[in-house]
Amino acid sequence: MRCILLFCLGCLLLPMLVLAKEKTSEVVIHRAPVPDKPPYQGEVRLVRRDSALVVQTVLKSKVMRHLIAAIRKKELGAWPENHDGWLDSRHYGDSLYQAYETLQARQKNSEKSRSRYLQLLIEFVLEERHSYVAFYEPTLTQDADRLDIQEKDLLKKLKVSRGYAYNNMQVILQDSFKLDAKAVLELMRPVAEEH
Amino acid sequence: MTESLTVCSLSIDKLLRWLVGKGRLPSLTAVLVVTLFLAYFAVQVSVESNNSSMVSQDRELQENYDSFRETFGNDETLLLAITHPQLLQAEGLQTIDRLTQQLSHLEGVTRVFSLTNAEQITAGDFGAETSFIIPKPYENDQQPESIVDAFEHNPDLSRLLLAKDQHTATLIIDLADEPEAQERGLAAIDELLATAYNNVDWHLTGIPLQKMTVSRLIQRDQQVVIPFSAIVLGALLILMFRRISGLVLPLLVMSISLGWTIGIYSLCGYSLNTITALLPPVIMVLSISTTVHLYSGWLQLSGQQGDAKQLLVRELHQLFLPCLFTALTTALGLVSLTVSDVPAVQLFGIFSAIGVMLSFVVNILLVPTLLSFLSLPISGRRLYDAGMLRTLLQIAAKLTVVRPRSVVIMALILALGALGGLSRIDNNTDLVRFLKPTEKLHSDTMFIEQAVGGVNSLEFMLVRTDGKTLTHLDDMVRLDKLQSSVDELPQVTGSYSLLSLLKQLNRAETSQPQLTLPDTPGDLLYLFDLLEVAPDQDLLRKMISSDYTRLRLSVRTRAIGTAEAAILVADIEQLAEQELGGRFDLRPTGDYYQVIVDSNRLVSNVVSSFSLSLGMVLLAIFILFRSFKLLSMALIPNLIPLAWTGGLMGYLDIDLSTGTAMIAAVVIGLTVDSTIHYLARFQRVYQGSSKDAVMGTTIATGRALTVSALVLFFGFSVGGLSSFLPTIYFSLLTGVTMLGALVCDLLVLPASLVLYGLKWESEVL
Repeated sequence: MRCILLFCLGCLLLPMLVLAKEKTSEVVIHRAPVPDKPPYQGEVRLVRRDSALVVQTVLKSKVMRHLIAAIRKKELGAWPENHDGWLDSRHYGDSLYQAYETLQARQKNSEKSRSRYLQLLIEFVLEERHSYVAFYEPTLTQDADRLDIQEKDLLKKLKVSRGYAYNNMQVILQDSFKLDAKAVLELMRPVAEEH
Repeated sequence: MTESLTVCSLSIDKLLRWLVGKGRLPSLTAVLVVTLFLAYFAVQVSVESNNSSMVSQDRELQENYDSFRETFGNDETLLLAITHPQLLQAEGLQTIDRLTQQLSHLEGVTRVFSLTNAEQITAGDFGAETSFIIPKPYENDQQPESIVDAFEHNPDLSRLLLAKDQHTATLIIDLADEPEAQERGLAAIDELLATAYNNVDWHLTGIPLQKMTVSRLIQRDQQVVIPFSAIVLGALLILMFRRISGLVLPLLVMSISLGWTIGIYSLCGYSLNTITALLPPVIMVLSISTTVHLYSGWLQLSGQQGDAKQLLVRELHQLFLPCLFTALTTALGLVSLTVSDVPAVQLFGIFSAIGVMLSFVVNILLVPTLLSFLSLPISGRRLYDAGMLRTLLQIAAKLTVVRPRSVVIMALILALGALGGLSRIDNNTDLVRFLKPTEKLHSDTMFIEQAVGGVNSLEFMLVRTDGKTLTHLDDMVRLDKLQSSVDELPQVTGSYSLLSLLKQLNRAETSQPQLTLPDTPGDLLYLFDLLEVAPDQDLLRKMISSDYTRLRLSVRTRAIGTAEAAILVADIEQLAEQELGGRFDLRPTGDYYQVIVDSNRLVSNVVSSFSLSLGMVLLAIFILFRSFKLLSMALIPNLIPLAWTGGLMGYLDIDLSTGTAMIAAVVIGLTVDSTIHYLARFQRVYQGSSKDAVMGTTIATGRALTVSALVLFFGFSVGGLSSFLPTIYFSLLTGVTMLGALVCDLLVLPASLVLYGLKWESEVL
């Protein structure tokens, strides 16, 4: 009986320990508001989540459609047709727009919310074996220009090639942190080398 | 009263005796010390660089303007027009682009807006996008038609940046707020255009340039008018007196009076402005006038026997009170200008009055003292002792004695005729039109006015009376209607506000061809959201406040005067009432609006200052003569020349402006001087027959009055060399009025005295 009770307790504690580990293992290496001058529309962060390297783009804006358009325009410029990664980029663009449409539909359906702000979290994740882009509707708290994620509701997850993910993370960080390629690599290296 | 007069007379006598006796050295030393002290400050007097003293200090007006500047920034911009035969070809565009970039990098320049950096909002693949109206690089095979099409697609930008003939482009240059930075910016722009673009046809205008030009011209005028005044007055003195002492003494008094006045002005921390730049010539002329009377009195001692000093004291004693009262009346006339709202006019009134009184003090301290060193004059050397002037004076005297009624009636008929001209006078102030047409700023402004139109900008600040944000669709629809109505006014070349940006954005967002406002409040809010994240927030802040509660409406007008502009403002306010309703408040403001308001106040200022001047002068005359009859006599020859001058202004289409508005108040104090001298002499020589008294007075006093009037006429006429038209008009019209006053004093006043002569003995004397 005691063994059964201990087993049950263990079953209860294990997920909690895992959750606790997940929460504490996410370390923000660098963060910067975007665009670089106010009024800011969000924040870009370089995050180490366990052994994974994550680039988070947190957006909170009344003109989300234009931000999405601006991101898609940049993608088109960075990944020209018939070059490596262009297909991933197209899929990313399409998924991004779908995520935006989902957010918009949710806002319309929500009778409570009268806010004209939409919130979107885009994560480029580079794990040991996988690389993907995830889109979430986050719950945010704001302290001055700093945005903190309280919860996140997954909207879509898109698998992409490692090359596309890695290079795009680099481009996003360079653009948002206003750093050159070398400096960005320095920031990414400790985690990237593990992969 | 008689007792106090006796005491006063004894004091004057005592003072004069001291000045020609024991007090000679102390008084000369005192004058020298004070002169050296004040001359040190006089030479350091600065020139105002921002024209701030030319605008009134109306609290509400100033608060509105401060709030406007705080919200939308500096409204003082420069307009640079570049004319190029192939403006829309590669060469022309490269010139504009190079110039735009070079200007943008100059110190003191905050923004340059031109054909080559103007952006339009277009519908892109992913929503509204901004792009240059003229895409780079500029190629020779670029079609000017496509550029013209692009500008036709953006009419507001087209009106601002491209002339209708498509050969002239306008660059709008924003300068820093600080006057010093503006000055450096203007100097750098001037140097750039003069060196790198000397083969390009360019024209530059704008309020900051107007201010700097005015400052430069004041300095130029000081360097030209003061020496020339001295030369003209010197030549006149030589011609009239034909004596070294007759030249040196008045010029010495004039220089010292000028040094004292400008020294005190500088010591008080004031800078010379367009109006107070008149102080030196005015002080020079007015100080000489008293010296002429004193020196003429000394000349009349020629051939008399006795102690020279005793005779001098006796003669100057007789002139002391008339000279004091003439100085006092002139000063009172000038002091009346302090009722003006314009600080520059107030300063001119105060310091010219101080100058006149100081000049009296210098005259009294110096003239008797220095004349006491000279032996009595020898007769027969003066021009006016015999000859033409004496003959003319005799003719005038006979005319007034024989035909007094005809003389008075003729003068009144002329005055009535002048009333027709008086009604034609408009109040109109225009800083550019203050300059001569030959001045580059004047011709440049007129060129830009012709080519592009809309040199002046009337600014309005729109707020909701409930203090809410101006983001409702109804707000914008009403503003749109108002702008459409304003644009139809003939004096308006275009009105600009946030609406043009919103319409462009809406066109791009909805991919429709027309420039319209969105259909729903939600769509409008989204446009505001887009504006909120636009990269060029500085440009946005020039159109609407950061809290969206205050909106700027700029109305560009043709180069109209302030009179027409005041009517335009009233029309716009009326349109605002119709189109906006009671929920909105449209406040006119801006640099140009301040000039309009000030100009309108001139008329009431003129009436107040003239009334005050007249009242004080009449009081002074009454105190001197203590006779209502003489007071009424004095009024006629002083008001008639003013009516003549007013009529002349009307018939010659000379506007009432900051400069010309001062004429009446200044002149009444001057013309009355001759009347006082005439009546004082008349009182002295009257022996029961007014005809005999008039004959004697006209011939004796007429000499000094004529010389004095000629000095004033020529002295003021030197102001005609000024760079500013109001100064020129003020100088010439004041001079002409002095001649008119001389005619009245030698014809109308004696004729009036003869007409009422029979009653003098019983009532006055």
